[in-house]
Amino acid sequence: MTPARAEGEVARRAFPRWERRRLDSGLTLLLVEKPGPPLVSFEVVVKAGAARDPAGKEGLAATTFALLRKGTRRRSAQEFSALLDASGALFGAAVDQDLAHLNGEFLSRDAEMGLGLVAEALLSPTFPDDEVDKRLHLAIDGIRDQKDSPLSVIGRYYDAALFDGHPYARPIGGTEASLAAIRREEIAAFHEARVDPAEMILVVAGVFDREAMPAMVERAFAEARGASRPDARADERGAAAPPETIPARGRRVVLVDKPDEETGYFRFGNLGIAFDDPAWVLANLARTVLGGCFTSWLNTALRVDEGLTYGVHAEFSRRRRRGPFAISSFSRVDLVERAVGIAIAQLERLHAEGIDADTLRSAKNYVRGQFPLAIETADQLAEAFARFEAFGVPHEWLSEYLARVERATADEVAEVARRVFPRGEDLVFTLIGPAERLAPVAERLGPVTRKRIADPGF
Amino acid sequence: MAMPGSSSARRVTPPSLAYEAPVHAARLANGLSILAQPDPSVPLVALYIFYRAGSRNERPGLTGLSHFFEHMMFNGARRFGPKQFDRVMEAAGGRNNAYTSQNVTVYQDWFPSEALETVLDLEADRMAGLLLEPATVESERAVVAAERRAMTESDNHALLEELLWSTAFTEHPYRWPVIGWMEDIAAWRAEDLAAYYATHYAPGNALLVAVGDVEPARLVALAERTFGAIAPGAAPRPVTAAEPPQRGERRAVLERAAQLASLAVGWHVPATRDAAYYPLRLVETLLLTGQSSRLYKRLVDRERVALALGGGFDLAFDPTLFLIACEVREGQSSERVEALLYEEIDALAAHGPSAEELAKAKRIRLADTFRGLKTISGRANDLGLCEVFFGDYRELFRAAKAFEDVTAEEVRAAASRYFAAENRTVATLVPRKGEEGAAP
Repeated sequence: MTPARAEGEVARRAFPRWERRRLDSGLTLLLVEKPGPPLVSFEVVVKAGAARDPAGKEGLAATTFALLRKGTRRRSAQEFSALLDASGALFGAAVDQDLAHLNGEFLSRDAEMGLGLVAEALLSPTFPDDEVDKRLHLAIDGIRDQKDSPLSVIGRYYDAALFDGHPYARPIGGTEASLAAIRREEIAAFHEARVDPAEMILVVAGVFDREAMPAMVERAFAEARGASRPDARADERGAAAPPETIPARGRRVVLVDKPDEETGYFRFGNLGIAFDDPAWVLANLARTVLGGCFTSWLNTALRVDEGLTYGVHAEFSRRRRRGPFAISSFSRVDLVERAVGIAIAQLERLHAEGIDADTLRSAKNYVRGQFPLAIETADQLAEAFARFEAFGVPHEWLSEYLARVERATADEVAEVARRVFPRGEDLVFTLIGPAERLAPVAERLGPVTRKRIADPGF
Repeated sequence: MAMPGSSSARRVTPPSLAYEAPVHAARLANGLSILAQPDPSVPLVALYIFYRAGSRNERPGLTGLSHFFEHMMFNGARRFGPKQFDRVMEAAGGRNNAYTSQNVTVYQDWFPSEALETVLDLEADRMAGLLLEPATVESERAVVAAERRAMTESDNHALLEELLWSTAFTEHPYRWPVIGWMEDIAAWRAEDLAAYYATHYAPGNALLVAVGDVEPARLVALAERTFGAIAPGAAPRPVTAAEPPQRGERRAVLERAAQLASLAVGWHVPATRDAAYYPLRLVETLLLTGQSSRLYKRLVDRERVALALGGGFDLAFDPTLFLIACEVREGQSSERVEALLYEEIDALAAHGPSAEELAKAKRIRLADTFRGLKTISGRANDLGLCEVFFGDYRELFRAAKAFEDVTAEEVRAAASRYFAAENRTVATLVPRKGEEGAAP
């Protein structure tokens, strides 16, 4: 096959049939057909991410969404769970910095019932005092438990250090202190203000009746909404995007003391690239070469050549505004300085040398080869379509992605890499481990702020 | 691990798995078994190679060797030398990974269908003649030590589970961790590695499963060309160690810096190919799956003594453990959590599930079966696991009926038989406060 034919063939097979409907309620409905086992996924997205949590009430959006299934006008939390489990469904809420998601996966024959539960949770939650209290305390203990394993919290310390003062610094799940400060009325008010069908995106994906679905959705949402619920306040609509993020200048280090560790964990970087930046495809090729696959420069240098670590990654978190870029890994405490030094050298190599033709060819093949697995299932497609819709990026981006990868030249990748990836002199570092032993390393990297892992917050 | 199989609720016709493409089975003269399931809807192939070798095939002093090979298998063989496996694979658009368990080591490749021949060349090369160069062994030994340090020794839950297995088993190799003890990781010698490789990495000990954009006849022909010349090798020595019956509760304590206490309890249960398998899988579902499960309702929701619950039991060649682990909430005691846990299990053992509850558990297993079929990876994994552990990949399609046939009394009897106090081992994490980096 010629490359051009191959692209068309891959895109045709991997990309599903889909359509968009605007329902009378204002809800945006996307129908994405994906043949496979008899399952249907519902993904609802609301522009109510953690970046809009009030200061001091971090975790409000996440708490609200976690509580949607914990009591509705029609049934108690326990009845809701019993019904979900009796149908073998999966049901979850997830909040990121920009968006709040509710998703359910049901057997196709239970589509109508499942849709009813999704609508009910979204539109008629009652937030019983008892459930609110349970949820908040569970989440606080959850943070305590996560702090016992550095890999699960290092990203939160890093975001706090990198976005200092910007809403993206706020931990999605809140802190031990902010969760304790959240009141039931604030949750109910947040829900009333932010969860409005007119602002909602619902993606239905998988195996379902395309003709019947729009009416089924209208019915389920009308029923769940009832007559009593007022529209969201107009001034809360059109959820404003957070302000632009600003890259860190110079270096700074946050050292988090966890005295019992033999391993030192590190994560460093600066801003990456915004979700809707057209250069994302090229930046991702450069990221793949730097630290996005097994033969990446970082993995070759740190793991394969030196045996310093088990794994190392370079990652973007794709957000509405420029989110974090981070290189993260870990090493025996006495080898952390060497590992960080080698990792910085690989980052600087990207700026100095760009990417040679053979390496770029391999990265393109890898990205193209693996892409169909990222949109293989109905739930993956539902999540992708919802995010693209919410951020106003055309869905054709997905079907044109492979061709754009194929056209990329070494020069344009190098140019984007120089713009997007931080330079060695402008880096924010987070280190977790025994501070006594890591302090000299931290001080050689830049000015140090010290924290203790058991102190509340990040 | 996603478990195959399930059944529908009463009075509902079980949905058909018939939309599934047929599976083609073949076997080369040297013993390599092949399963292929074509599905051209995805332009990729998921190719899994199962070796019937895991930590149960090791011995004291050499623990962790199986997992070490999971690393070494990427470090060069006769035709594709050091660093070539991943370079060739990724340049052809492929990605790979691998996992090791107590029972098997599984190599996973995902690649565009044009790369099929290349990937078979790579896999056959490392089955035929792996290089075990001293410098590479030392570098990889350091990687595995870093892995153990960060993923086990820094993880209280992993350490607690390790302690549980090493207490519950005194004789059988399930007593040591898959990654191996740190002292053993430092001590393997070149001849240990060579002997392990020669014994276990042979075609007769392997199963190749390919799902996706693959044509079975072509796959078998290519496999014949690439793997066909590899000598069959002698059959590995069977694992004959058997765990003597446990005659009384065992307890162990782990003291570590931690913010919360936690608890892990294990009960000895039979190997996968025992009639108790399906009833026990339903016991697992009733106790642990979903927020309407018995243990979530009682320990997390109603009594608020546990943060989260996890557990279950693995597919296993030999009798294994059914494990339940949970973190204890701030201000609550491990003793209370333990007492409530046993109350719930005793209730299930005494009365069994209601018809409605049993139907729920069967429906959860059915949905789970479908979820396993969503991806080419899920299907390659489930077909391979069924072939390896049940002796027949078709168990994947029989499981729905097998679950459907389980009665409430069989569930009750399984809970009653295996969850007795004298058959259990309890490991508790007792936090050493003031060492977790708290303010002085």
